[in-house]
Amino acid sequence: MIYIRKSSLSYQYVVILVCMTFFSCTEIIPVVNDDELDQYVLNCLFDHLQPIKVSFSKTVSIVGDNKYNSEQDDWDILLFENGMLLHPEIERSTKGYVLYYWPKPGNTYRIEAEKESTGVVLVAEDTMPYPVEIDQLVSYFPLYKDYYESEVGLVQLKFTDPGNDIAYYELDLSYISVSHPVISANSEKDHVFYPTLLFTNELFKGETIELNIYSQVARPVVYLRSVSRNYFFYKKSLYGHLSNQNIDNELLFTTEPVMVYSNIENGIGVFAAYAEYSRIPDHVSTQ
Amino acid sequence: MVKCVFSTVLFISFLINTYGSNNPVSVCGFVRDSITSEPLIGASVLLNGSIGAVTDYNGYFCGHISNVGSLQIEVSFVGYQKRIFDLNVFRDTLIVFRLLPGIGLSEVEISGSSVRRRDIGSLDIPIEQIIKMPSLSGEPDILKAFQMMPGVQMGNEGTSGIYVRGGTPDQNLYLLDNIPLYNVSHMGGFMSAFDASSVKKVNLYKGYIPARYGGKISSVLDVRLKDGNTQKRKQELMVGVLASRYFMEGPLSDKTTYIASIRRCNIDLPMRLLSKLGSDDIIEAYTFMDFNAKIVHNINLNNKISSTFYYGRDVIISKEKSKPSSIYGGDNREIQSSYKNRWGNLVSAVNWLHVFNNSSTADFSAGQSWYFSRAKEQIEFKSTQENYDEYSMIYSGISDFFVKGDFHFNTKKYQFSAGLGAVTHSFVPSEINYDITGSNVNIDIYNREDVFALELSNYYDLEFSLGDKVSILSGVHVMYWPSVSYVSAEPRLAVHFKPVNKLLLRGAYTRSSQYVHLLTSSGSRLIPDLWIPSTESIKPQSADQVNLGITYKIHDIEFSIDGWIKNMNNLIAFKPGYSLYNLNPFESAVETEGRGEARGLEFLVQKKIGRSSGWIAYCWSKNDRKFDNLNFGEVYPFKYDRPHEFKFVYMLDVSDRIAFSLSWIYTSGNPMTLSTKQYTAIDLVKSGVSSDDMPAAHYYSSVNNFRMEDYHRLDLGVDFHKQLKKYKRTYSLGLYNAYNRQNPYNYFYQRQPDGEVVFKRRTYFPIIPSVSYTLKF
Repeated sequence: MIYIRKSSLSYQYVVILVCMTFFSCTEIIPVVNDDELDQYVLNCLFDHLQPIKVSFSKTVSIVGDNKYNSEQDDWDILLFENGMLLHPEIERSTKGYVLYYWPKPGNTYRIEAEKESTGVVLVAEDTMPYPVEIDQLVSYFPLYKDYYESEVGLVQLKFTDPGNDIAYYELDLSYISVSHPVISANSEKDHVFYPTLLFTNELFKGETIELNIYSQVARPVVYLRSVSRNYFFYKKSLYGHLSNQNIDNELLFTTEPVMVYSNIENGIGVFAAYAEYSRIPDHVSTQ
Repeated sequence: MVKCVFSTVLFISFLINTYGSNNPVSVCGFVRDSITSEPLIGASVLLNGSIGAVTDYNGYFCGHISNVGSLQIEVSFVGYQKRIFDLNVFRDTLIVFRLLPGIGLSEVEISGSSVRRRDIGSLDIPIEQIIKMPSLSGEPDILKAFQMMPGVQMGNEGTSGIYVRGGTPDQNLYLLDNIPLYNVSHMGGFMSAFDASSVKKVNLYKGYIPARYGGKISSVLDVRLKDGNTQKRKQELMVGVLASRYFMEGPLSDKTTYIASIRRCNIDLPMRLLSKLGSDDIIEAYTFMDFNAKIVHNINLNNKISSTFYYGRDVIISKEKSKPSSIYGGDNREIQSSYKNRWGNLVSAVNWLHVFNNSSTADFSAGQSWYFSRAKEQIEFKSTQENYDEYSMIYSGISDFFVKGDFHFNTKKYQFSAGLGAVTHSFVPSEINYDITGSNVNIDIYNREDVFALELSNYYDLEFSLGDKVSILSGVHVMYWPSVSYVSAEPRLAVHFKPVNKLLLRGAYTRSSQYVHLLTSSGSRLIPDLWIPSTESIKPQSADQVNLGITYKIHDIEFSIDGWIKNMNNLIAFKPGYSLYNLNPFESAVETEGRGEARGLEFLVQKKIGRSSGWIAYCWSKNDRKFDNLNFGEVYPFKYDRPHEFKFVYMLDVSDRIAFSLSWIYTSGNPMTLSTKQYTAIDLVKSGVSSDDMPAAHYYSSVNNFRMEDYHRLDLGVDFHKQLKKYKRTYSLGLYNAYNRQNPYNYFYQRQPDGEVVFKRRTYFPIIPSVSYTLKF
């Protein structure tokens, strides 16, 4: 249904724009009224299975072909666990810094990064959630062929929410659609494309949930992540933002832009934790 | 609410019985144009040089004198010759006064025991001035004329929606002969729906809103159509570049008059021609039309019945026949498609004015107002592999039926009005019909979401004077929304203080509520309006406005300063990323419980009469919004927050045959949410999408962080009139945006073929010359 509406309305915009083209003109101009200050960026998504990797960058102008060379900056990094200063080995790589410390679920981590000679200190904090295991994972493949003659199968996934406070989840697998009272998605028809499924336990706190996921992959690796609130809001806003980007989208003015969530003090970016559980489904051939 | 209604009826009955017979001698009547017999709204009537009254929307006035005997009545109206009548009055009298039109006469301000009833914050531009003002393509535009007033802002370039003192267009109550209109613009807002040729009077209430008006929180635009010429048939034909119109009025009998006007947009004609020249297989066209009709029957001096009808709609048509190449669907593919989208209003009402006696009158109205938007698309697909016929239809609309009664009582010291009203709203946020029948597929889907809501209201308006210098306007408007049991009582109060004859100090407080809301997307009015009701989660909007003003008049020039603060609650907005594409159900796409704070200072120097007339206006304002889930809960500037606005309008009758007009507007640029910086974001996806391919994220420091370039525009117009033997003809030449200012409509980024990203400004309406030809006969 959404597809139908989108089609007709887009058609309408095009016709109106054609009408208005009689009067309109566009021209390339220098960016006007650009009084935004540049911001330093700290990016870090970390889990309990690997050391913490942090990257730094800085905002650059959208026009032209600007890229920020992060190697020109040196950062002094402090890492705290539940308020206690840690002393991990820190290694610098081309993509940023690796802090050789494996975080633990349930603990709160705080990072303070000071850029040398500027006095800029980026600060962020997040708590790592506990991982949640997948109870059952079965793949029925193939079930049918779609309009484009591609084979589609069904992945049945079952897991149990621990039922503590509000929990945030991310399900990372290649999917076409999920139809469920709480979690539903359709990669072809949804206005915003989410490469992963992001949801909370608000409507199934403490319950076992069973999902039917349609996929074109016979035995897709399924990653179930319990994620922090910062992680959840960051990725939700990121996908909304990217699908609503201002470049190559002259019809952007039909919706309000989505701002990307950030939990970095004195800068932007994200410092967010997750705990991942992955599994390959048992395969039931339907042929 | 039932108690309230019951008490109102009792109170009205009491007043009719009490004041209907025990007053001093009353002198009441109608003031009309002596040539056309049109009622003159706002005419001044002075009894014995001291007791004043102003005519209402029916041209009716009522004054009271203590002593019977000789009476001198002075009647005046802007643009008409003042007349003085000497009468002997021994009992209650009902009389009709007729004024001759005249040019360059001074406006008479009533002084003495009654301060002239100029509502605080009310704007009145004579329709003659509106017609004289330069406009896009020479077509007079009522809303664009009001956009040139302080405290009234335009939307984006070229749009005719008005933003009054920090409000939005849906927060304005648009009334056409007391019938509410939902859609007042054509061409996505580039022209207003009011055909100036059939309009008699327009008032915009932006400060003190009398209690008889309710349902919207920002302003009231009260448009009154002409009644029709009682003497002979008059016609007017205008042919212009953008639109053409025809207007006629005249008597149907001794007691019955009519008006009818039709206006049509012409731009579809060259569009159809261009489409034809370009390719026989593609036709794209846009047009709009308006039709106004009104019949007035004066049964006798005490009873008048009128019926008003308006139909206006926009249409987009597109037809295409193509043979696409595609990897799907087989060979010899052929597609025929047709698309049609209509949206507009259909309104009608019947009104009965009854004069009970010299002290009390009543107005009863019943009617309907329907806003509709319907898009239909049909596709016929043929190929060697499959055939199918696809039909889709989307409809959105709101239909109101209303009935209301207004009662007016005039005594020597008080003017009291009360009224009751009921409206049934039928909302259809979306109706979707999709049907596809073919060799491989057969789907039939029909969905319709109906929401029904009842709205009950009543009001009390009271005007009285305290001595010679103070006049009080007060009232309360009560609204009840039974479906979710919302009740609102909205007090209104205005005080006029006139310490000396030329000076008027004003203060007012207005509270108002709004139960019907409009969902619009950012920056554009090109999409259909989506009206939604108040529900459990979408609470009624409300606003409180405080207004202080001062007016000083030197000769014909009026100087005014108004300061105001308006606080708005329960505002709504689209959630970021949502649009009409993905609002199902509509409540999921709405940010609620927003707050708004606007404040401003307005200066106006106005000369309404004389050979040269016009005004200079300046407004400083600040307009903020706050939603818990937008901008991370922080306050941000509203998208039409323009701190500075300067407007200048000048009209000069060079001679009887030539009239010149000029207008210039300067405003600060609009805020908009636009990024100028980007940065590397991070993602974590392991199931097939590489995070290395992720485009950079744009950085927004806040909602509406970016301010567009300032807007300014000069319009020029000149009319050449000539009275010929049987008709009067007028050539109108106009120049819109005379110095071709590239005012921004919006900005966007675009990737060039070489991969470079550039910043672009979109501009509508460069310099546009216009010409139109009008015949009056």
